[in-house]
Amino acid sequence: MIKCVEFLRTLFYPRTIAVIGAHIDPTRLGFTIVDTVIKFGYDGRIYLINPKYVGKNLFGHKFYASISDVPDEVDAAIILIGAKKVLEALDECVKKNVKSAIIFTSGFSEVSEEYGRAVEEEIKRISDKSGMVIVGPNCLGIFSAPARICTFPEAELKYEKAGKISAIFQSGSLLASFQILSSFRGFYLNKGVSTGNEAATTLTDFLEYFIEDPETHVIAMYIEQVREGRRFIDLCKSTKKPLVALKVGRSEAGKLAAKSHTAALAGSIEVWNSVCKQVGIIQAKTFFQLYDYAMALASPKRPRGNRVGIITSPGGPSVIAADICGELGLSIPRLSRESVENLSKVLPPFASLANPVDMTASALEDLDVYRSVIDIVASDSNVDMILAIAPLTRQLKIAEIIAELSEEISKPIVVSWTSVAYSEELRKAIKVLGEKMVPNYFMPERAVEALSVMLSQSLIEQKKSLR
Amino acid sequence: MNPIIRQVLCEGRLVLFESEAKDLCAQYNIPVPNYRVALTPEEAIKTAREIGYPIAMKILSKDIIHKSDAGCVVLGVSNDEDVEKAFRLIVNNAVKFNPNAEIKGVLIEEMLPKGIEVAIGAIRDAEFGPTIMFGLGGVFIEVMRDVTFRVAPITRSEAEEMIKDIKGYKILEGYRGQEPADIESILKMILGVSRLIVENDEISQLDLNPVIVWKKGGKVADAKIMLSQKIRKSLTT
Repeated sequence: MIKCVEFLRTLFYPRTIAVIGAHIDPTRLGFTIVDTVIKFGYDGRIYLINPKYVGKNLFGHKFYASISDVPDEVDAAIILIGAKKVLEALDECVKKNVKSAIIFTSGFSEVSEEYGRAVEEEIKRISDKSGMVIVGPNCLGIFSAPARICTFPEAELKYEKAGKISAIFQSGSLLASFQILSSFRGFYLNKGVSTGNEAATTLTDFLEYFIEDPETHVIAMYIEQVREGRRFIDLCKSTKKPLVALKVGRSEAGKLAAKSHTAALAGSIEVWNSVCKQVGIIQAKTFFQLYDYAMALASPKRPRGNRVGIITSPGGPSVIAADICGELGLSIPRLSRESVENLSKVLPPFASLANPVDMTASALEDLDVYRSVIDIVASDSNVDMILAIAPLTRQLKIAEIIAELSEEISKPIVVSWTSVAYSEELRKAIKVLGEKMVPNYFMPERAVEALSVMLSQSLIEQKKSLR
Repeated sequence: MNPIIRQVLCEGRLVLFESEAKDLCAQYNIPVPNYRVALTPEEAIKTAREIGYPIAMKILSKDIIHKSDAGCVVLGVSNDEDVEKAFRLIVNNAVKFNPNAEIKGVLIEEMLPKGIEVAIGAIRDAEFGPTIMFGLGGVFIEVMRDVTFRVAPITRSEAEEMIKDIKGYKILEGYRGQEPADIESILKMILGVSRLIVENDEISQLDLNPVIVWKKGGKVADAKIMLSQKIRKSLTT
């Protein structure tokens, strides 16, 4: 339970950071973390805490013997020292009125049920009593693009921009992967947190903060266990912000012996499936889906119905698209007479004017045709959302056309490449679409899933409005 | 604490008798059949006549969980003589099954007419707390596992959605000449179960299965309610 959403805000916008256990030896984590923070471009004040190096400097930042010696307020303390010294360090942080602490250190409840859990209970007491936010232990810390802070070394440290997706992950390495993926795919992260063992501050606390955070438009979660389940449910119900989560099943260890029918049927995954329906969480079943769906939900557009207009240049991939549409309950409607007439004026006679509209390779010769076709299909009143399947060539030009059109069209438009690798041109094309928040995917199957998710979110938001 | 639950705990049990489970359901306006507990064949006959034939007869014993398997359930009893025979049979079978069984009595209950069977249950999920389950009864729950869950406390619209969510929903609407089920009565029962599980922390698991639903109304044919191990521990320390 957080005492103050304000302290969480400070965690993600710290003006000053202390690294307890910083090191001058480049092989040590205490060095790497400082290096990481600086590489990502943090421009606040950094204080290094390690009694061994008092008087020394690292990257121009001074070492102090203890956090109490720091001649400044400390907004966030990153704790890297051994498990045995962590409680002492936390006490010192409290004395210093540090607003938030991130404990990277492992070796707590994840290795020892008794001892580790007892220490974590003490960590929680310290947090409850002082109000200090404590993340972890056994975590990789935070990411905050607007504050230019990243504490996990495996991240993509080349700063691009602050995106709209914020991530709460109960796995640090997957958070790093997610952040890296976001930099390739062009819909960037805004904030992220690896919550570790959640001794004090939990996923539910971060959910509360991200719901209130105006810079967060989509909340993506990787969940192993929900603590404070009731509060989690109430929070999810209270917001229309898109929520997407990948939850992984727990072992049988915690389950009561199933003496009754209901208990035997209520596996944690079955209950979770129902919870998602009940509170409006979009469920991802795989890591890539989690990102794909977050991307789709980050687009501000919502479809009004389930009818998809498909535009393709190679014909093959549209068949995959059509199949998946069928499986997901999306319909591929007939285009209006007017649309067909208009299409016949711009497309060659051997093109397919039905939906999916197959422009054939000749359309690529004149990209004005490409633009007209999309425009015509988007304007058709039988169509609620558009899937544009792009060919293997001229991807950048096509991206530019679609990005521009997308601003003029109110209906959601989603792009499917038919590429499988990040070529130079594709990377540029992806960036162009990302700038205008046009979701784009490597293959039609993923693009169609994205459309389905956008529709689901429409329905969730409508339902929540009625409550 | 609910007096029924308190009594069960005082007697050192964690499982409610079917009669107690149904008493508790009735307190929450969940419709149950007419029933009474009989301690002797004479009482059984008197009760049967009051309730009206045909009746069902079931053993009540904390030591016999699977009553049918133990030969301790007789259905469709339709006259005084059969009541007496059935009573003796049930008690004899109980003793055969477990010579040390403590027998509280025999439940005498009205036979419910055939209808659509549904199941309503509740558990305490480790993450989300009290959770309600709904499904169609019989093969739908046993084989198809066609059930839905909602975390309690549950609103009326959530209960409506939960019913519609099951794959076999069309069966409730009436199928192949079978009359539709009274969905409103199912809704009320689900809401009743939601209040029951939320207001009684001591309950760890609850199964109303089958619940027989007709075109109008429905009643709980069998009810199992179990209390939490943790309660016993805290009472004995």
